[in-house]
Amino acid sequence: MSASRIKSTEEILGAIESFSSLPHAVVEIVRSIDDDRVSPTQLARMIEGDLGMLTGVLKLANSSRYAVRGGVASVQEAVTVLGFNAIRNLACLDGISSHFRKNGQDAFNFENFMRHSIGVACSAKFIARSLRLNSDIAFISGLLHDVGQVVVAVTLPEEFAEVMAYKKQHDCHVSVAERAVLSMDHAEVGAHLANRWNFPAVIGEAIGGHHRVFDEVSSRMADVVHVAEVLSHALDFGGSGQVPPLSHGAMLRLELSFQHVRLHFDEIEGEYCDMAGMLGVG
Amino acid sequence: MKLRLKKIPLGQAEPGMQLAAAVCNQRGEVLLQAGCELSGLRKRGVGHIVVQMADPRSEDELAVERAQVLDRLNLLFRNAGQDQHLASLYHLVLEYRLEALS
Repeated sequence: MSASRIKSTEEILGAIESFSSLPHAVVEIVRSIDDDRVSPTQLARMIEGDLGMLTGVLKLANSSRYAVRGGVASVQEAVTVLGFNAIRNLACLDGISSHFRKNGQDAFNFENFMRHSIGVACSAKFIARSLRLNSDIAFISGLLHDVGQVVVAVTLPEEFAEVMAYKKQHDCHVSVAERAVLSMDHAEVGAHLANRWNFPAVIGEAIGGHHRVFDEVSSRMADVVHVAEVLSHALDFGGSGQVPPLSHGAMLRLELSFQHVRLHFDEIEGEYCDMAGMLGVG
Repeated sequence: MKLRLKKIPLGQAEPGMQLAAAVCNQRGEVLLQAGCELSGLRKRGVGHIVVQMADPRSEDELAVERAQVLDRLNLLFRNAGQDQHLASLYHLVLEYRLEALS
């Protein structure tokens, strides 16, 4: 199929319907992220229900980053030692990484995608923390912000290759190339997927809105992810090649200055290097 | 050989490494003064420590790396135009990168 035959948003969305969703455990964990009633036992059950994720989480929890003396043998133990939020973030990181590593396409660089996603997740976490916003929701939103791009790459590989060729030829941001080649960009595709997977509204808005922050109205988490993406490119996480345009409206709405974020550059880079290293994409 | 402060994950700490800066929690409260034993930090939420390490690079090698940092940053920011926030970010990242190569 050539990209020229894709004419409408409906056709794009129809094509991505064939994508077999994220692993059930990832969807379940993301859905529950803004639910304070989820207990460590429930989180452990979600992780233990997916053997691949269970193995992955225990492997990450026992990595040198955490240096737990004697190691951890169960999710419950990992939650006790490393904390509930850390394990939830690791579970999502492992689930998404494993899933897209298996479903990769030639034109799609999985390693760069994961590096970029981790970079934005870590940047968003520290920006949110400095603004006293929920840093775990920011981390997960950052991790998933480009999920639309990878799903387009998997379900429409020829069109994705055309997008990449356009981006290279015009030296432009990927969303500009997507709008030129397809009828929508990856943020819109991501918002559609977040809705289909019943993700919390705050995460759906961040995924769908991270390139729409130039509008007057935007969600705070979309603003955080947008600024985090700019920072992640500036710190060269993922080898993207260029820093994208920045929304001054987002900076104003967040009352944020990069001078303030500078205090956390070493923590952001430290966490990024650790996580990329743990997943073998460092 | 220069001695350089380096932030490392707690898991990479080795016997003989000297704690170069006090370990603080997110509220800035000191958990451990420089020179103390590291045990028990993990449970208190500490992931990284700052240690002093020898830097084997010569002045010439550092100068080459500084030039590479500048080239890379100019490439990354090539489409930033006159944006004041991006100009600020450029200088902050440059300062951060050069700090490790001074």
